Amino acid sequence: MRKMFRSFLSVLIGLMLLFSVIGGFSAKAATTYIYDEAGVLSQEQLSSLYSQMETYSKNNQCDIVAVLVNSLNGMSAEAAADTYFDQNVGYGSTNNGIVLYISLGDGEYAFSTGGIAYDVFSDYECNEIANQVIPYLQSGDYYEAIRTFASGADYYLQHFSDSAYAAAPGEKKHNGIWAPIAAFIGAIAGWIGTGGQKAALKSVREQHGARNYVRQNSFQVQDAREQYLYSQVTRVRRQTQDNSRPTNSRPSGGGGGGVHGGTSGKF
Amino acid sequence: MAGLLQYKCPCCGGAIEWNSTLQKMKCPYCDTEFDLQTLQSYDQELATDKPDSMEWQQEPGSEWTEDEASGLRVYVCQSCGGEIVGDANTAATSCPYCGNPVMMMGNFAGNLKPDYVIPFKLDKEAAKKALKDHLATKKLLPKVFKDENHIDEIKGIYVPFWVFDADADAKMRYRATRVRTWNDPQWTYTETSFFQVIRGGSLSFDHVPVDGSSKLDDTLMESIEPYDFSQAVPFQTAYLAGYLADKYDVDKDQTIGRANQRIKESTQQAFDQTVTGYVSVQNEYSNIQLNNGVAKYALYPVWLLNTSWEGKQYTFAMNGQSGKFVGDLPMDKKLYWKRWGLIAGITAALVYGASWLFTML
Repeated sequence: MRKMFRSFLSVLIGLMLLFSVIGGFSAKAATTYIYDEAGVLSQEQLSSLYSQMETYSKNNQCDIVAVLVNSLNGMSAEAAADTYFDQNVGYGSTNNGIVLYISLGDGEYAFSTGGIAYDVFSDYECNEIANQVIPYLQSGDYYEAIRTFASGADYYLQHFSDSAYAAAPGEKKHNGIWAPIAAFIGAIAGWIGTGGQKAALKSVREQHGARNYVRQNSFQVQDAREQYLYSQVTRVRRQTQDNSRPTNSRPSGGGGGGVHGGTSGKF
Repeated sequence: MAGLLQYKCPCCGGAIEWNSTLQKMKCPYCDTEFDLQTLQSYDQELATDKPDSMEWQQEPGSEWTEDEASGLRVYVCQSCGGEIVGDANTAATSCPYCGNPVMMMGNFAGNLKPDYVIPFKLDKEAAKKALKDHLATKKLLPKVFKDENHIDEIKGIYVPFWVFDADADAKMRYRATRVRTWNDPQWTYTETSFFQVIRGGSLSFDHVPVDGSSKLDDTLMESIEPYDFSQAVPFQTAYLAGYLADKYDVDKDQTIGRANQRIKESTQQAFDQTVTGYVSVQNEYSNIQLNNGVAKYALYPVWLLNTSWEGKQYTFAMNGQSGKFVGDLPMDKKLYWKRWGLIAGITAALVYGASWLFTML
């Protein structure tokens, strides 16, 4: 009897583990990286984009999602993007993700970001991606538009993880580089602070020049000329964007969801 | 044959000295004071004295080597008859037996006679106080040096200097740039304009001093400059009474190079400062001609203080006219690193704390 109970328990635990694993896989598989409600992409294109976006998303631990719809149904593009984000997107406990929401019928698009993507994709990054995506949207090449969006998002996510200001979403991360910087500044201050005291011990110095012995009012400049020789002109392209830590002009709460960032526009 | 000179007090016959406070001669025995005019007459009168009353001897067959002996001079003190041994350059000293100040007149004869002397304005007490002040302000000085230090020797010495006058005629050429920037909607433009700048003119120097004694460190002597030559007076032996004095053993031809170097440096600086209004200035050519050069031989007052610590000799010097005091001092290395660590630690902690604060904001 006891043997039977043990066998039953083993099978039960095994089934529980199996279901939990399957459940886990199905939960992850629930993220739809490309949602083509408008039906403008071929199955082959959908498959290719899905594969690309899934890879980027997992590598960066941040969902990269594109949505193509025919109409916003009276909503703003931003609100629609945020709503979609809240209902369908979010990697890990901090819901990392970026959604490019495109309404073909309205000719509008919007980015919605959350979690770590909120910090990564400020207005600057969103606009940079949008500038590359819009020409494809205008020409109707939606496949290339979304592929460009996914590549751009991947680039900024990877770049951000290497940058000095990378921080986990929702928390202020203190960068470790400050420790050696503080030690270096401290050492310099130590040298400067004691340098004066050390120098005070040495007072025997060679005189430079003989300015103490200049005869009063004897300095006469009889020849003072300036001759122009030539000029050189160089030019550098003006910076139109502020590339220092960018701002996020749209910190907004979605429909019951978390805080989202991103930009929007027409194409 | 060199002779000795002592100033005898007309009142008591004691050897009188130059008093830097009173700026007069004063007898240390009967406190009688004499002004310079009186002494000048007195000096002239002494100059007529026959030398046969002054004798010097050099020991025949002495145990000194030939080189050593050639640099030694032996004199007999007029007051006590004691034997005074000095080197060939000693011009004034004091008798080791009776303490009376004496002067070796042979070292002030003919071409060796100084043109000017700047009399001592500050006395031995002032030198002692200056040393105390010098040590008091040094935070990294070993405490034992300050506490246990005692001066081995303080001596007021008239140091032979060559002083040079010269007019410098200069011609300079510089390469200079000005920069202008402007923008259009796409580009920022920078225009760098290059100019050749010419400067020419003259500058005169008076009484640039160069140490004429090989026994004293030239850098130490330069460190206590400047001297105010307006207070120099025509040389009189009376000023030397009570102090040591050397005659020069580095002639003016050997020292003129240093004077020229200093004059050229200052001339260059003076003209460099007239080239203004440019972003960058680089000297391309410099030609400085020195004219009307005149050299004078003068004695300048210096207080020398010697002390030794941990087997090392430390020499301090004070300008006997202005009181400027110099002398390198040892450093307490432990104290240095302690202070360095304290400042570095506090600063690093503040910076690190500020970085956290900045992050939290």
